[in-house]
This record gives sequence, structure tokens and C-alpha cells, in this order.
Amino acid sequence: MLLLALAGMIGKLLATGQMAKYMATWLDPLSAAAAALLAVMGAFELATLLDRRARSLRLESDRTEHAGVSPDQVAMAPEAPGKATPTGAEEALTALLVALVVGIGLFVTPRALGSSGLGGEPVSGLLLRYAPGHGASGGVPPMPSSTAPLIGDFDGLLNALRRAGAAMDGQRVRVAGTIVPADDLGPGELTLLRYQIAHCVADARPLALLVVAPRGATPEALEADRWIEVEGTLAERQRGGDRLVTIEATRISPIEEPASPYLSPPP
Amino acid sequence: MVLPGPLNAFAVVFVSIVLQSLPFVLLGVFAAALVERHLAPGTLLRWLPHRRLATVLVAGLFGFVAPVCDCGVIPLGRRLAAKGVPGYAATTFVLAAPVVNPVVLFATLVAFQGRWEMAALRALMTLSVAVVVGLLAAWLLPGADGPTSPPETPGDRPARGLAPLVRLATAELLDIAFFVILGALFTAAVQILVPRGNLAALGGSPVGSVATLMPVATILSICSEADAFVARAFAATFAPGALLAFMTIGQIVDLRNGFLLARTLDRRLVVLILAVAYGLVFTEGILLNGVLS
Repeated sequence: MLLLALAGMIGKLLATGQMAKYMATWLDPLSAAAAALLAVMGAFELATLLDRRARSLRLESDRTEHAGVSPDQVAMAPEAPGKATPTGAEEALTALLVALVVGIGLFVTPRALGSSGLGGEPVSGLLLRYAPGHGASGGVPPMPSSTAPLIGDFDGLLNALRRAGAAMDGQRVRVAGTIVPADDLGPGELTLLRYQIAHCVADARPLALLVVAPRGATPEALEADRWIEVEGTLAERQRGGDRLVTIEATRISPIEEPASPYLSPPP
Repeated sequence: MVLPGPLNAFAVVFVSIVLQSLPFVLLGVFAAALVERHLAPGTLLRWLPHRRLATVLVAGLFGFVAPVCDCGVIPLGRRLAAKGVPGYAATTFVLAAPVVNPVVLFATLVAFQGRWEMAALRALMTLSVAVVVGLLAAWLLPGADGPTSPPETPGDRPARGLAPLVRLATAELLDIAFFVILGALFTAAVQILVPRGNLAALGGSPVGSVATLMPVATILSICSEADAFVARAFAATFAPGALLAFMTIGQIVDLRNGFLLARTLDRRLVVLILAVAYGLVFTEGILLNGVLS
């Protein structure tokens, strides 16, 4: 039953799209295969259990009919020698832990990692920076913000920064992430957080961007871990000798958490 | 039901570790079941070299044939031990196979964008620990068992076909499931609750960087196919030797498989593994920082 429940949980996560809140989506076929295998194993166990019960009932009926042995004595007959089984305590604890996993998977609505996934790392240390001396790559000139095509997602922004670095100054971007509170930000500044995963949330690495809110906006009013979409232009801010990748925002809008909230590792 | 921030983080990390381990654990238990069904006792012993050094080297390289993760390798290792493979050799295999296999080495190559030396050094560092542990176990702990066998699955009359194989695999899975899930629970709790502080501040020192990343690897307990991508994320602030130490120690000593290792190995062997792994990887990491930086 545990195996079938586990298989069912994985199936539910895949069917509802919630698996993307736990694992990289490219692993979905592997998860589906694991669920199928668990279902097969569970079905075999169930079939074996039912078969044993049926034979035990037949044996019990034969013995009570021919030897006058009480049903209780038959039921308590020891198993054949050499067939060890896990202790009851081990079985119960295993069942409890599997039930915990299944319970969370079935009944908890998972949300993407937020500031609580930082493990105490200061967000200021995670802000994206231009590498020292990194300017235009391959002679790429800075792109005027008014004519540059908009980069519409975080992955696209990261790829562009890898290619052209500070030459991306003035580039129009639109990215989403969660707000992370930080004590050492200037007025009107906020930090946008996303996580990158290779396999699953356990290997998530945080990425943070400095965002300067539009004039008149009050980013302090936005609650921590709220998903927002920021549209603006790339710029650079000097902070403690570092050149921080900054978005000078023209618009900040609260949004619903995306169905696939995690970024993939760079190619 | 929606959980509050830290509890949500814990639940999501916990379940994700179980989910991502499952396919590889299933691979391991079915491989173990195949060994149990189709490999006669003593067969491997006839093929293994007679000298201990050669035996541990072969055991260490056997991972190329059996690409399983550090949780899935244990059922396979103990079935091999039950079929006559010396305990010290089975232990070497258990330590080396999660890294010394084509899948993980290819993932390392991809993560480090074709830098073959990172993949090669990772394999060599892992092999060095596995071989040294194997040799020391053979000489110092001749009586220590390698990975111990689970009880035989309660079976019915002997049968051919798929059913006994599936039942064996199921018995293996249920035998280790408790420890895999307990390891995931513990890892998730530590990842969320234990502050990692400002890691970047410690990245510059050749010794400090290795000393910092090694316990982080043990705490994070990332699987061998993914840890290279996490290591690469540290590449901006940590030297190559520290990254290699992170990738090596994380597959030998981590919270996720620690419970399983403690259950299946002799206690003295576990202490030997801890001491050799941490000592050797730390030393090699510092030396490589000097060579590669």
C-alpha cells in the first residue's frame, strides 16, 4: 500500500504540474518511470498479500476440518524457518515516514523557496555583479534602451549578461522574482530573488538582482517573499567596490507565483 | 494546505530529496535483485585478482558498469558482498561507484563546460579515498564486514520470471526506505535551520575555502549528478581545489546517506571512512588549490 501511495503521489504531482515546485522539469520522465515501477512493485505486493491470505484461509479451514486445531492456533503457527522479516517497529517507522512524504505531496500546496531558503547567507553577497574590468564582449556596443528588443525572462537576462556584460547597460528587461528584505539597501531599492536548480530544490542556488523602484513607488510596502514582475532598464550601481547589475524599474507589479519558478543552470 | 515560509521550505526540500533519490534507489535495488537472482556465489571471487591492491582498484572502477547514486549503491554493494566479494572490496565499490561512472563524470564535464581536468580530478580524488579505505579496511579491520545483507525476502515456492525479482527488489527498497527518508528529513532540517553565513567571505583562502566547502557539501547532501552544477555556482569565489573537495566529500560523507551507511557497515569501518575521507580530501583540496590556481 505504501508503494502504491507513493506512486499515486508522484502521479498527482506530475498531473497537476506541482512537480515543478520540487524538481527540474527535465526529470519528469524519470519521475514518471519511478512512479510506474513503484506501482508495479505495489501491485505485486498486494497480489502476494491477497494470495497468502487466501491460502492461509484455505489452510485454516483444512486444518480445523481434519485435525480439530483451533483457528487461533493455526493463525499463530510460525513461518517457515529461514524466512526473516523486518521487525514490527521498523515496519511501523518506515510506514510513518513514507506516509509523511505522501501526506505532504498530496495535501500540501508547495510554494517556491523564498528568503527562508537562503540559509542565513546575506542577500547583499548574492547580488549579481559585473566581473572586474568586464566590459563589452567582442566589441559589442551598448544598446540604446529605446530601440533594444525587450528581454522578457530571467534566463534570457542571464544569458545576455554572460555574453555582453556591462555592454547590456540600457537594455530593456522584464523579469520576475520574489522580494527579499535587506538591511543595507538604499532608499527606493529592493532585492529580487530567484533560485537556480540542477535537479531538485535541495540543490537550489540563489541569484539576486538589485532593483531601483520607480519614483514615487514605495517598495517598503511590498511584503517579503511576494512575487513581483519588474520592467525597466539595466544599469550599474557601485557598492563597496563592486559593480552591481541593477534594474532601474519603470514598473513593479505583484504577480502570482509562476508554475515553474526555478531557473535552469547555464548551458 | 499552504505552509508558512520556513516550514514550506523544509517540506519542499524534504520531499524533493526523496523524489530525486527514488529513481536511482530503484535502479540500485533492481540491480541488487538481479545480482541475487542471477549471480552464483563465488563467481565474482573467481574473477577478482588475488592481490588486495588490484582487488580494490577493480572494485573502485566497477562503478563504470554500475552507475548508481550513493543511496542506490548500498543494496547492490551488500548483495555483492553476500555473493562472496570481500567486505573491503564491496566497501570500496560503495564509496567509488556514485562518482566513478559515466553519468556523473559527463554531468561534471557539462557543468564545468568541457573542462575535462575537473571531471578527471574528481574521479581520481574519489578513487583515492575509496582505495585507501579499502586497503586500510583489509589490513586493519580484517574481521569487519562490508555492507551487510538484508534478510531474505519472505518468499513462496521458488518461481521463475518477474515476480521473484520484483519481490526481492521490493524487500531491498523497504529495508532501506526508512534510512533514505530519515536522511532526507535530517538534511532538509539542517539545510533550512543551520545558517551557512557568508560563504563568499571565506572563498579566497586556499585552506579556508576547502575547510568551508567540505562541511557545506556534507550538509547539503546533493546527489552526484547535480552537485557539479552547484559547485560551479561557487566557482566565482572558491578555488578549484575547494570545488573538487566539495564534489568529492559530498558523495562519501553526507547526511542523506549517513544513516544508511551507519546501518549497513561495521562501526569501525564508518569511523575509518570518516577519518580517511575528510583527511585525504582536505589535503588533496589544498594541494590542488596550489597547483590549479
